Amino acid sequence: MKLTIPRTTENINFNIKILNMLNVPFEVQHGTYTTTIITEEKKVKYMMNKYNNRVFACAKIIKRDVLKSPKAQEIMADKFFKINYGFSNLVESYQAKRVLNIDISSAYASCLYNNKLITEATYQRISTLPKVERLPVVGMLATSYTKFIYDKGECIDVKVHRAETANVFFYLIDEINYIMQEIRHLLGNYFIFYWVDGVFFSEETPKDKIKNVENFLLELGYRYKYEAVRDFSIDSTKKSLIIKMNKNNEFKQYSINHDNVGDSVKNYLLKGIKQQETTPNVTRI
Amino acid sequence: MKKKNVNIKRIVTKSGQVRYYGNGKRLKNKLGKKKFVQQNPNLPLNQYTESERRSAKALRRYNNAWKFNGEQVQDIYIEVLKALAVPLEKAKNKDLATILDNEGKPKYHRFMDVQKEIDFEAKRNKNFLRFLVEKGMPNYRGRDFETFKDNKAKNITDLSDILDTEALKNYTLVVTDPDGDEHRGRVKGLLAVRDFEINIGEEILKLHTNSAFLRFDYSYTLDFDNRLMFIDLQKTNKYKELSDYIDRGFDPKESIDVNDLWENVSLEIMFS
Repeated sequence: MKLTIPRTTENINFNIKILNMLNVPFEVQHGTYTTTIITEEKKVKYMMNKYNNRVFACAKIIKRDVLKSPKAQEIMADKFFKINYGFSNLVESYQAKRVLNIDISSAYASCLYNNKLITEATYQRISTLPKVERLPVVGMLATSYTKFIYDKGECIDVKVHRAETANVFFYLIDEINYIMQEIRHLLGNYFIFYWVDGVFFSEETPKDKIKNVENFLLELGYRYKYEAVRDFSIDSTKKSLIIKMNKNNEFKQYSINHDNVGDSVKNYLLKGIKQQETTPNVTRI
Repeated sequence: MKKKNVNIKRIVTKSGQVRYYGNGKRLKNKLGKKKFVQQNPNLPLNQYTESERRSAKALRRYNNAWKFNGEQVQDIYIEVLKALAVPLEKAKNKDLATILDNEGKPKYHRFMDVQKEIDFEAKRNKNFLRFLVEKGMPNYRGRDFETFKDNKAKNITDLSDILDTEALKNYTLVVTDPDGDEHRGRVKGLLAVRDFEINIGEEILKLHTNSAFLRFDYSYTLDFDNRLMFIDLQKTNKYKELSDYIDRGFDPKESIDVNDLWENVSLEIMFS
């Protein structure tokens, strides 16, 4: 039996107290947003917000495919930096009325597919999801929580659970980052900035350089789209970067702290999960 | 069809204006200057106009620089590749793309292959990673061989992991909860941290129904002599509340950093 209840200290402590009084062995799985109490008979989930089942279902299929993939086995056995980079550091302040912007379409889903980590059917399934759901289904490859194990009325041990597929998540971040770095190189001095799966470059970029970027992406199997970006500015200080722009007639602002730069991409993806919990239509961080 | 090389002539008018001509036709200044400098790269610098001199210097810098498929490469990459004993002497015209492997095939198909080779080594060789960080290699700022650095843990899972590392597995965790009560030991300490997170989550939901993203950052202090690890969850100022941060008319497009409410915890909140 599975129950979902709002997560409050009172609700959780009440359940733990009862189970302790009954001397029943149980487990409390604690994540930032969800706490689950598991006994032999039932599983009670205490959630800060509601998840969409569609996201879970898709994440499950991705995981199934990944675990079947020989390449994923290699990746899972490899070592990855937990601090990843989602943009070019050493960014200088910049301002322009108009800049060019190429975004890779469904970057992480494409990366999974292009690297033979998921089947085409799964890729198609991810592609049908809105962007705010595409990010979390990939982020779920790196799920982690802390398990508190109770027996005879007290907590006797704490264990960490990290999804066995976590490395695949870090691999995807690395791969997209390599692609962005290659584009940066191809654009030379016309390159301005990249953020996760989108690159911004000067309006004056020669056509042959843009063609090189397009060919490179197509060669690797990535689709891309151009976005209209106006009033673009980067304010780079020692502490942080503030990027402002009008993208497709919508004002956007990103604030990235240099101290946490390595976590930015990871958080960007994971934020998708959290946003999904409450507002399925949010499209920005 | 291949374009013919046009001989560029530069004429300085009586009024001091510089004009460029190719095949008898006047060229736009920007194009003329570029072509003139390309055709005359080795003139003494004083024989260029000021604007040409800048272009000539840039061209000389480009010609002397290392490249990948003609596009300039930052010097640091070369320094790093030297450290990796890459046979740079095999490169033609200082272009990394021309280095061949033992089978006679290009060693690097794309520039990102250079980066991949560097990352591959950095993941396995602690000293090499340190070298990259010290040299200021792009994308290596703040990287560390270990997940945890600067006595910080990103969440309770990291914290549990830290306590299991070789370096700290013999340390006793001492957590002071928001009421000032001390919880000693790995299990009791982590239970206190768990309850703290649940409490904060609940408090945030009461203040704002659209919680989007939370990130707890724990800093800890170590007592090396007594093998103790301390985390203090008490408020820094008992008159301050979480609502003070959330109610102060934040811009919903930016995250809220609650970094001075508790002694050893900072919290990033972003609302959708």
